Amino acid sequence: MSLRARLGVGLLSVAVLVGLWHVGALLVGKDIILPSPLRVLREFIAIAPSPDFREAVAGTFARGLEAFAISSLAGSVAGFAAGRSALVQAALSPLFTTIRATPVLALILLALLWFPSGVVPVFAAFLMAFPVMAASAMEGARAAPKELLEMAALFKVPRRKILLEIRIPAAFPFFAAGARAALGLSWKVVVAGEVLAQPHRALGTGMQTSRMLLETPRVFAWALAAILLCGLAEWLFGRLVKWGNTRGL
Amino acid sequence: MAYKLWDIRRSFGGLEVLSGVDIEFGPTQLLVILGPSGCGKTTLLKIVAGLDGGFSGKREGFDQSRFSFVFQEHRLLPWKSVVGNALFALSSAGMDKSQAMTRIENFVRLSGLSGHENRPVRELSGGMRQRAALVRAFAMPADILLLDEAFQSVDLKRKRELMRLFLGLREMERNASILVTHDPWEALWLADRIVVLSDRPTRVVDAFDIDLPRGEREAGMPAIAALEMRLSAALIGIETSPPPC
Amino acid sequence: MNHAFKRLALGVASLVFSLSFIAAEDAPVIAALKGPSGIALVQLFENPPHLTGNRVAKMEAVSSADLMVAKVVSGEYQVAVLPINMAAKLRRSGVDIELAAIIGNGMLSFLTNDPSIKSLAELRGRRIDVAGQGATPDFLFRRILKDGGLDPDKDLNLSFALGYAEMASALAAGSIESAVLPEPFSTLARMKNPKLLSPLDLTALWKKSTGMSDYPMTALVIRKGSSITEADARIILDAVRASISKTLQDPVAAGALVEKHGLGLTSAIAAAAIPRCNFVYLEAARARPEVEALLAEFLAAAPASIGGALPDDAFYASF
Repeated sequence: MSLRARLGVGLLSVAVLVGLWHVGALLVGKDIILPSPLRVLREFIAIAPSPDFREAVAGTFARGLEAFAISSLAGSVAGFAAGRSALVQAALSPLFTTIRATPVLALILLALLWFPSGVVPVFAAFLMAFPVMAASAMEGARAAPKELLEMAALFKVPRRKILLEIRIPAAFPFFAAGARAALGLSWKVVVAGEVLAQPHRALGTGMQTSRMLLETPRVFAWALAAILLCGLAEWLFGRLVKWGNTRGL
Repeated sequence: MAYKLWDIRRSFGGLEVLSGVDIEFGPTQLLVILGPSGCGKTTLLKIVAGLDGGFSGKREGFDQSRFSFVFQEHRLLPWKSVVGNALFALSSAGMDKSQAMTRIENFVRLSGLSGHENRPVRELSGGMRQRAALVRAFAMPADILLLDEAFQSVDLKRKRELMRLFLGLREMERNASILVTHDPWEALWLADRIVVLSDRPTRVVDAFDIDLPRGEREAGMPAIAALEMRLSAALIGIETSPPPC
Repeated sequence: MNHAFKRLALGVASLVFSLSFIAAEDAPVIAALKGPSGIALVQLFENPPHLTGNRVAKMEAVSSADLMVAKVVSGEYQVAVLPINMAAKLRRSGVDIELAAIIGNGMLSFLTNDPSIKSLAELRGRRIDVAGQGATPDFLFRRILKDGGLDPDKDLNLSFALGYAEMASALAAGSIESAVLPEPFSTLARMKNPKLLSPLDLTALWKKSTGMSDYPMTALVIRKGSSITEADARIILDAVRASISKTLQDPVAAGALVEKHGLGLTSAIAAAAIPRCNFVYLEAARARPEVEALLAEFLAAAPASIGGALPDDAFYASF
């Protein structure tokens, strides 16, 4: 399907969703419960130019990026090592299981006691995204086709080159998939963490503050900002992957 | 004869695969080992390459030998280019980059891959990939080139082109080559020397040199007919000999 | 060379950072909850009190009472604002805090969309949303209902399902009929829907039940044995008293400060809520009878909620 066609269908489906939302809002009839898309847009335009808003966007973006960077880096390394070494896997496996089993909310509440409020969202997001990235990286570590490894051994290619030029490139699609999942997760959890921890300069804090003031349209406007930010990050990520592909990964 | 293998025996578990195989060939000979599937041709190649120590018998002349390889399934790194794949294989060859590049570019030109040599292999057609595999194999400076059923996976028309290319590349870089195959026509067409192997427990059934120039090796030509018959006899002998119990 | 230089700079920076941390460790921390209870201390946020030994108190605004409790327990906060029942529970759990003063009395409102509700009797058979399960709104309302001849569990449907903000929103929207809400949510709900009615005066009903003219909600506690000396405590309490009085005198100015220091409310809403928040300054000893009257309801309904018994005498400090 051509790029234009895909964009067209995408936009159409967004339009349908927004339309349904509008109908829902009309049916409910109360802004304080379900504001209409137009109302939310107006709120968004109202808050967008303010320095508080821009600082909140910057803050959340920085946290999301931080969480993604740390979890994808740590996850890649840990997962790859676990994929290559049964010892490492055995050592890390209980850690992964525990983290995966613990509910996000519990982690956020615990983190509140240990960390300053600005770090809590990052910590919680890291805990969620790290196992996801590591699982993908682990699969990736095992993805190098055996015949290629054998070919390299026959040509007496040094081990380091084999690692860099066979194992890692073979793992790249898995890394990419894991990173994409980690990215989406990081955002969600960062914002959720911000709602609970309420640090300065955060979209989540904006959401919570508006909620406490019963300004429901504004809550939605903040949420819209968070969604747009996430969309931006995913788009940037897509470009990054494409660039990786052109560089022969 | 520079290279000799004497009385090679190899068993796996209780199964005797190679049962006293003798092979010899010269430093610039193209040896074709012809034998049915499962008779241990690949094992023999591994023993030649020094990768399998679990055999009994003698191996002479291979001490300082450098090896290069062509595989049945090309085994190229799909994300690397033709040039990249060749450089990868040359990692242990101790050449500096410009030396390596000169060699590679030469073979690229000869293979008709000019203009495609920097594209990732996954973007190339099947035939181009096989040619790229040959480029890599020849770019690696080697005393002995081992080809494990290298022409098997292509269709008939492309097979001829590939074999012609292989011979052409050999003109540039004449080393010892061992091709292992079960196709008698590959043997007749390519070999300087043919060794025919039996079924398991494998022994050498026949071995002879071919002095015919390659231009005279087409089917139907008188000179090749005699060799054809000799090969057929050897192969029929294999087919009619009682199966090992 | 460049690399080593960067390393050195980083090392020095972290040293300086940690030193400043250590230095700051010594300054006592006064923590207020975001919301009405914090408003009482807003003047301290604007002018942190100067304590003995050349120290200046650090002011912190905390978003949830649970977090406040955690940091009081850990010793991070030396002076804290807490709901009175939580303060009592902490005391009984062995945390060495003392009640310095009550800084907020009853600020619960009963609001309804239904004009037919004129007295307790009309509540029979209805659903009433109550903000604060297991807290003052819950037990106070139950007492009032019982004394009004209603069984809270059988004659009514008390619902605690919604969060405070959601409850206020739903009330204003008319999705729920009636609710018991604290400030600032009752003011907010009324601002969103001016047609909301307030037919029951909970404070008056409480007085009818217990004879107490009011009930405490917000407590100011001090951690004993911390870096706060008696002299410090007096300085802080004087500041708090002054802050409350100044805030009540000029709610608009106070409202602006509330917004400035990020205490959870905008200036307009804070200014509107201040008169309704029932700010007081009652020293612990003076407030004791009212505190015990309220805690008695907790004890009667769920003893574990305040630790099984009323707080001991030493809980009520005097400075």
